[in-house]
Amino acid sequence: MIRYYWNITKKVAAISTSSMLAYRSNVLFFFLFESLFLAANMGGIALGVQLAGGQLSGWSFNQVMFVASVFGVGHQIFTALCISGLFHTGWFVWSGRMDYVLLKPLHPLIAMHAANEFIVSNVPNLIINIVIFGFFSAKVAAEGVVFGFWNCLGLLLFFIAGLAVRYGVALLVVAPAFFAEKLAEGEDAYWSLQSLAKYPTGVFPRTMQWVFSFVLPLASVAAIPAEVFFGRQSIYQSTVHLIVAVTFSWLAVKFYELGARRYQSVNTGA
Amino acid sequence: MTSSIEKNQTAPFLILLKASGVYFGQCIQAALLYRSALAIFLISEAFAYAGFITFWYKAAASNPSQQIYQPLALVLYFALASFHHSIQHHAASRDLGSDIRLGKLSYAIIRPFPFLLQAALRSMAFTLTYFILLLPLLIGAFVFVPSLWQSFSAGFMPQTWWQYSIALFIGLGCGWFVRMLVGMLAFDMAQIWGPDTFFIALYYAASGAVFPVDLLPIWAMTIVKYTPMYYMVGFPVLTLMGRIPAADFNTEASRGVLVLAMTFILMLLLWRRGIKRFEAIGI
Repeated sequence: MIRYYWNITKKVAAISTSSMLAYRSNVLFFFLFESLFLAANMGGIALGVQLAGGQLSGWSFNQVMFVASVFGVGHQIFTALCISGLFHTGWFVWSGRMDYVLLKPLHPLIAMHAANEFIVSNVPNLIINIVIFGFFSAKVAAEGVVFGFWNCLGLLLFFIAGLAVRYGVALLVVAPAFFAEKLAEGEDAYWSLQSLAKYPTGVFPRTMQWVFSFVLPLASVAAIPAEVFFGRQSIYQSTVHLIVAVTFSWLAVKFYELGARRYQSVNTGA
Repeated sequence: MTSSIEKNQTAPFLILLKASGVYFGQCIQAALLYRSALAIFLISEAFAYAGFITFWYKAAASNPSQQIYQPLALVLYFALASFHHSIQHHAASRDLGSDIRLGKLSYAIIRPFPFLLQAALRSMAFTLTYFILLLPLLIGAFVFVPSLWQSFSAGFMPQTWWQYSIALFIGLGCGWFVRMLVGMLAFDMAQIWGPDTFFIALYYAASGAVFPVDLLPIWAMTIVKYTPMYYMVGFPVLTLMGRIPAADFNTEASRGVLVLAMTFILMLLLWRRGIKRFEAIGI
């Protein structure tokens, strides 16, 4: 009998250990995924600018790559800190787990982030992106771009505004889950929309530039911070972009709150 | 008593066919219901493709001296690539992985037709609904983008039809087999999102979905052509655009068939190994 239980214990321990090791290997895979995805994105943009002869819409190769690297850093910060809490909204609504999130004495968004995890496995990729950003910063500095105090401060301020816009776009695509459970798969829509933010604004036709500046302000994610840094934006233009970015993000939060108020815990979960 | 698994091996062909038809119909119905949320998805996809296309159009138009891709050819590439990318967008790996881990395989395996056929039919239904829903977008691109049709027909030869049919067959086959192969890792892993996302990254880097794959340096193209990813988007699109010389097509298609066969064999080995170890415990 003892031998029987000993064998069972050994088998369970072996299965659990191998399962957990295999599970942890997902983190490694995810690191590889993010690295390769970064390489594909940066490589794709680099191929495009090379095809254009090394300059695109008045932006040098290094300036375009600078925009892409600003986008990359923002992407990693957003992924590490926000995606779990945001993109589980549909699942929480669908399965009824939103009940206990809303019972907490917190704003529903803070409660959602508290109920989910931070994606720490993205921190190495964040560091890689920061290094790439540093590399292209040095390259644009070599081209004569001056790293003045106000330029750097402007870059930082608009970078934060860009993160808020990312957050707002994510809220817009996940909040419909409160209204209809079949609309729970907003994550794909977010990734499609945010992919537009990695290009300099000048590559788009005027109508699209206007839409991405004032309606769905994706330009504020990376292109506007870079333009502010390069001194391509006047004080008036940059103030308008800042107001639009803040207003957009605020409206997105209100939309999410509206959805959370409509939540009735009657979804089928089926 | 004959076990259900033994019956599985002996089901008459007509019953198998009928059951497959019923199951396929159910999958289409379920997939269509889920696609009722497609409006958000389609709008955002359309935005993303518009972004891709304008970036690449601008890139090609900024440098008139380059002879690699004319601006309109790039628009055509991305119109076709986005369509092929979308029909490769099914969840065979995720679904198969959860079937294995969550125990659905346990009861599905006693149905009187092969389990893998269910998984394949489900992803085929998913692809077919995408095909039907996205076709108007593709037609719209040809109708509304001036001269796009002329650009397309200029590279279209009589043999393009059968070449494209072969390329599409290889591409869809590679897509299904690779994704099912990734799903089968669930026999050994509690969750497969790691390998699945890694595959997606490889796909983006090597398929030609996010940049024209033939712009890669020659050494990179040589490597890429030995992966299933190239055949999922790049190969059928370049074939349809007439960018693969007739003399090279047979070589590329043969290599594609080889890659497809290797992927299938690997998938089959993984399945046979996994099903022997499967204990329906789930995690």
